[in-house]
Amino acid sequence: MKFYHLLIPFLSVSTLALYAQKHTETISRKLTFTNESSNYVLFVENINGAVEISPYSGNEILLEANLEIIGEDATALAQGKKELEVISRAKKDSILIFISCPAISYYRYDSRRNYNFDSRKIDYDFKVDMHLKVPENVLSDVSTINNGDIVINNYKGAIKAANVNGNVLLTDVGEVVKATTVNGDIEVITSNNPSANANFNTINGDIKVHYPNNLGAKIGFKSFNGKFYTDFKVVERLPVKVIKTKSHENENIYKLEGYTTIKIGEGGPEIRFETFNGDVYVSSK
Amino acid sequence: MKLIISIIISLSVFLQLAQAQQEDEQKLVIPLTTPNNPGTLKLHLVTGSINVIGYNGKEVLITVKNNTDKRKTDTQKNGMFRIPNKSYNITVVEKNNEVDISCHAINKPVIFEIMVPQAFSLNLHTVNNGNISVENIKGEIETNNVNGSIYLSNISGSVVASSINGAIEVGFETVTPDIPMAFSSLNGKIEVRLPANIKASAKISSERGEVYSDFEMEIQASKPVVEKKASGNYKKYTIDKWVYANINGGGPEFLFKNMNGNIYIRKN
Repeated sequence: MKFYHLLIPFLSVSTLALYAQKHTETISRKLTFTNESSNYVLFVENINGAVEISPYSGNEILLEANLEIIGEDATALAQGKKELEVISRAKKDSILIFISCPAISYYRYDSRRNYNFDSRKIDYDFKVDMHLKVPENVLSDVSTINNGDIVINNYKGAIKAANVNGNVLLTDVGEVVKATTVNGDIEVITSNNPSANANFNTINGDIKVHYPNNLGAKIGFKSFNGKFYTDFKVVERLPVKVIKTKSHENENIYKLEGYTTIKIGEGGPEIRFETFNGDVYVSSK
Repeated sequence: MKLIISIIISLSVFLQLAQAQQEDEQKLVIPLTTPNNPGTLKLHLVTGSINVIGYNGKEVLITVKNNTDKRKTDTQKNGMFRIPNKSYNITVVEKNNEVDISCHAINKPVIFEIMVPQAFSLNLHTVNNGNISVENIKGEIETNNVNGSIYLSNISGSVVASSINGAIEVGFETVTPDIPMAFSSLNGKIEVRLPANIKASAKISSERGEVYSDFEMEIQASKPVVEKKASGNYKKYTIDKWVYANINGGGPEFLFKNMNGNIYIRKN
């Protein structure tokens, strides 16, 4: 009897695989900003699949999205084709790109994003790999959650990149403002000296950043289990700052944030690295 | 000549060490809301030691030290050098003279050295890799250490101290009258020095250890305890393992409890 118990789930999985139906589709769009601005922003919020960015010399953004829908059967697949949408909207100086289907509920509150995925509502799986060509005067704020990396190559615009179960790979990029992930690595190669503060965070991965030889920055790092390595000459260890605040209950709060901060070169903006289990490598090219 | 060179070398090494230690310290100065009133300090650690000293000042001075990351392994990797992380994530909240320290490092031992005004009450806990020591305090002390010892000296006030695998040593200057106290350990010795004129009713038990005292103890006869169980009509008779002894005629209850260690109750 026990044997049958084991067999049933196996059977159901194999039948699913046998009768699952797949649909692939490529969407190409040309997106233009509605307002003239000097602070263009591109928001890409993917949920399943990669996001890739390369530079573009035009004024608009070129989106190419490869959709893959897998239905349990023909009706589920048809439902998926009908419901799943890649939505792109231009709002003044911003362009938003996101995925819509009944399983996804999403809201954005200040800088917080709340993505809710309820797979009970749909009978199909999907994956969307996006490739974008973006002009370099745009701040690219891109994110994904599952089944893909964030890959940005040769793009010199400002970058904010967030992943959850994947890597963030930025090669020959300009200014990276923020790069975060949870279960993945962060790798950055840049020949620019940073001009603004930046944050790099991961929980279960390593962070590897290559800066030019003449780097001038304050580098702060913090980790639970990880170690920090660098081949830059450390000019000095900077003293720890005490942050003093007052709560609304009239408590005086004094905080040491736990960052070890070092000065490299002439000093400059503060670049912060935080991991939980991974190591941090900051190297000169 | 050799001697001089070796002295110079050892001096320079010593200086470097001293400098390194300076670098690894983090200091916090916490002013109090009402500096002339007594305050309280709370610190619950998981890994590390706590050292509190009462002084003639008005502020709480916290020094956090680090004795880890002395490992010589992993100092180099892929042509890069390792820079040890010796900073701690510490939050101190002060409200109406109540100072609450929280340290979010649980995998690295931390050494807290804290100076407080003499009239301060303390609530200090730790679990691993450290001792708790307190000197020169007037106030109520509640302290707990699992795998280390507790050393309290020059205390005026009252103490509740417990440990599992460490010793407890307490030295009182004066004792606040009519306040019960407790000293309990499992595997360490308990040694308490009390003023000679103390009035107390001691309740003592050491299962595998001995009890020593230079006080004149008036041992009370222990009576069998009768418990009536709630279910059925059974009555349970047990003979109390505790020794009840009055010191100088009796007073508040002082509990001394140990399992594998001795208990020393000494006169100052």
